[in-house]
Amino acid sequence: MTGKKLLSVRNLEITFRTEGEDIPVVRDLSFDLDHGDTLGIVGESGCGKSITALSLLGLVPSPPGRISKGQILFEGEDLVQAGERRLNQVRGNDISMVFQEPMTSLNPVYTIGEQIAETARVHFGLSPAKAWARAVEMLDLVGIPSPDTRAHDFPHQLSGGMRQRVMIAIALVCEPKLLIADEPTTALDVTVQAQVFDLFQELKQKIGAAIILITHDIGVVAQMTNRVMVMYAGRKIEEGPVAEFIRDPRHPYTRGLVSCIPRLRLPPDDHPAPLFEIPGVVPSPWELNRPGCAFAPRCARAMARCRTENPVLAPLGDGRAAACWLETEAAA
Amino acid sequence: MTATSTTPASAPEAVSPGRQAWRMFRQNHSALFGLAIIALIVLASVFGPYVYTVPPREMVWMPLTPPGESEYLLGTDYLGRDLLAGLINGGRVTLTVGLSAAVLTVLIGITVGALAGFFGGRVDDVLMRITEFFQVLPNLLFAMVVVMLFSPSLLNIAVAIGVVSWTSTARLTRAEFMRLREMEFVKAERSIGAGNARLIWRVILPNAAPPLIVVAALSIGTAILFEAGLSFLGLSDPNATSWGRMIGDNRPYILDSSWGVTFPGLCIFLTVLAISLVGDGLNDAFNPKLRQR
Amino acid sequence: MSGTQNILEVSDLKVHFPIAGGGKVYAVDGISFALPPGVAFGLVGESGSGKTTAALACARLNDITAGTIRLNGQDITRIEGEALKAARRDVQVVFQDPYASLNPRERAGAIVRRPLDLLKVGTPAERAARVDELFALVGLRPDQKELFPHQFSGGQRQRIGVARALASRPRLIICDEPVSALDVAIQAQILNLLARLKQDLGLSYLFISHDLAVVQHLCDRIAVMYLGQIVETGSRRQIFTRPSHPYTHALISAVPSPHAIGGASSRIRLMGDPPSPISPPSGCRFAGRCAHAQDRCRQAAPPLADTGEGHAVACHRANDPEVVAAREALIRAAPSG
Repeated sequence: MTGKKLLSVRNLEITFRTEGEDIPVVRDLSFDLDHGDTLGIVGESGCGKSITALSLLGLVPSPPGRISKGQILFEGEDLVQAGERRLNQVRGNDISMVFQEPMTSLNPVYTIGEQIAETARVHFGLSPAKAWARAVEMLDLVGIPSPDTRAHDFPHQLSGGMRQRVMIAIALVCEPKLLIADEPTTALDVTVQAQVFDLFQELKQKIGAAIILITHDIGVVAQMTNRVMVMYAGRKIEEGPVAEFIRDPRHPYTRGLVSCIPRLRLPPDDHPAPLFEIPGVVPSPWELNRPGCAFAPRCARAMARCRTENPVLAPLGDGRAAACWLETEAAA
Repeated sequence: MTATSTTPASAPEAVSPGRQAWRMFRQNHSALFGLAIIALIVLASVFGPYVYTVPPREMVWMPLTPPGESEYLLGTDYLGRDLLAGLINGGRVTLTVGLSAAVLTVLIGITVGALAGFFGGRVDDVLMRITEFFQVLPNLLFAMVVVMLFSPSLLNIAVAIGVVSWTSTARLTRAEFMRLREMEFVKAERSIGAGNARLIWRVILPNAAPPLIVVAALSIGTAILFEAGLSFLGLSDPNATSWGRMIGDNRPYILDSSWGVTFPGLCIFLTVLAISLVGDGLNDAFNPKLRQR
Repeated sequence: MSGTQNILEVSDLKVHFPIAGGGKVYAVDGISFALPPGVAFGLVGESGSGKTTAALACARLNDITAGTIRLNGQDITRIEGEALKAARRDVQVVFQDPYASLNPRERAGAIVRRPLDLLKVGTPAERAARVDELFALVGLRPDQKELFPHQFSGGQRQRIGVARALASRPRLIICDEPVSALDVAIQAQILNLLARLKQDLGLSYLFISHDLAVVQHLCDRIAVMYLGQIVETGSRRQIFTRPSHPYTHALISAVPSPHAIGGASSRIRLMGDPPSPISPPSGCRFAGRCAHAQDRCRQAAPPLADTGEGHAVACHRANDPEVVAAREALIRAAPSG
């Protein structure tokens, strides 16, 4: 069964060495992704979502980080065991990534056309002229107006939204099977963010790549992805199809996450009620060696069991699952 | 990216940025080694003359006696003066000149850089032109002229070194101030009524301190080398013998007594090396990359 | 008297910055608004709209090119020295990035106490007591006074920032994107804290944000800014029942909603990025990105015209059927309150 999956992450554990101790930042993480699927990974900073994305590309900064357990099966091949050369091939051809900050991700001394053409030349062995034509084509694909003149621009001559489009063009030039986008619009203005998401929607159909979108914004996930996975303190605590997830989140943390953001309403409430609050803060990785659910100290419904035993991820039907004793006991 | 840090709810313990840096520094073995050497040299220079009372400027034995062949452990120079006594007393002179020149370098550099970086605009233009003027002067030549114009006393030598070496400190300070003055906490201080003087000296300067401390430490080493250069060229206080002057004095006899040049050279080398090690250690200890955002 | 007097009155405020190599940034280019006591006034816009520049000018934190700012009726546009210090007691700022707005070398207690010292509020003993009071008010423990900023989480740091702003008992707090640097779960904590403090202490807010949902949640009156100018202003109800400027429509439409799953069909999309405030276009500044723009829009700048009851719009075509129809489509597509 796993052979058919595009990506299958199995029991992944990533640790960071701090003051002589290996601190796990991702624990026992498993998930699958089919060809053409879109998965949203949601969580607060420090939940392990970004480092999970980097691990898929073999880019966990090492030292101090390392993948200490588990497998990352990409079309059946375990990338954890793969050497640096193989990873380079995978990174260039099969998996690519769009980062949060488009300014620092582009090389300021080359034109954007050169940067895209370079990637095309290396990966397809194209002649310089053909690679340049391909670069212009890619700029057109990501909606950059007059791409043949824009290709001669340097990154600093472009606006933030345009730079992020260029980053997407670079990520897509080798026709990857998996595109990972880590908070791709956080640095952009709201109206530009909307444009970039429209572009992703459009491209999803055109290129057929699977997409992993990492974000803290439930609204973005709802619009962009089919499935969502919520991480808390390095673990997956809930996953499922987006529509059901938004309508009826099961884990108390995700329930809080969905209801703690103010929502735009037309017409507005004249007296908005206070927002739902998740009390406290995310635990630091150091605090996670104690037993029990990592969310228990912040959970209004925590029971005795939650403080002693870590909940297992239990299926809830319809492809949903949650790691919460309340759900397990309700099902039993 | 990094995990959010929270202190355990029970016993919060204040950890100042300075203490954090010291914790880092303590783990750096080469820096600690450097610090130990510096401590040793400083102790020897300060207390040495009281413990080892051989007069450094008098003939005590046969000239050019090699080390280990008399009661004078490191041998004697061309005038039959005890080398060890010379080194101990020369250390005082060298360190005094190095330290005072470095203090001057840092004072001028920080003042000029802070004002230029904080105020910007016209003030910056004027101060930077002045800085450039000092930067393009041939340092050694200019210092030699200063020392020759005024008598070659220790004070004048220190001033001459300080006056030609402050420019890089000024540039670094300026860059730090330009970066920090845009930070929100500076705006926040302004919004609660802080005046320019407070912003410059009490708010921005402490935050700019880490790289400046590193530069200040290293500038002691540079000043020591500079002083050695001047002394070697004969521009030294006739009443005080520094390590540099010992090298200069013994240079003509280098073929007969290599030790007369070697030991003071070794002292300079060790001191400057130790200062560099400490400087590197400080740099690592203050490195913001190792801290949380 | 002070019961009805506006806390803040800004008229025709202009903030222009010279840039290297000649030229100017028209960051804020002639905005006027008034803030009655006890009101949270939201200033919304994208980067380059001048919202933060305008707000910081109201706290006298950047140079003002033209116009006047009145705080409690007093013209504070050009005051200096002790008079400015006195004014600062009444207007304080909560900054955007709690990682950057606290001096890393000072302890939390000292940071909160500093305005009292610098603005000479109370006796030293009173100041110490006030710091304790403030820590409790924003939900921090007294033993945390000794800690340094890096020992706090983002949300806690912003609580310190709020406590500092409250120290001198100001009547007006300028909140410059106070939650945009925080994690979503923490944003709610800070927004609730701000709402509670406004209620309990009768504060007024000038609240800067790019997030319409946040502004709608917290603000009673709203002004939408685009390239240094206000394009629409009104009460919360007016802005969100009859949004009239095409740019306001686009902003509303751009908010990703968890309940509009996959749906992007009815969205209003702007072309391109906001133009640069260095050389703003003549005529309506929004015309270049506006789906409804006509020749007259590119020729003459529309005035900010009051359509009644304090709802004002700067658009030649605000009442044209095409724009009205766009608004109605937008409202139909949006989740209702």
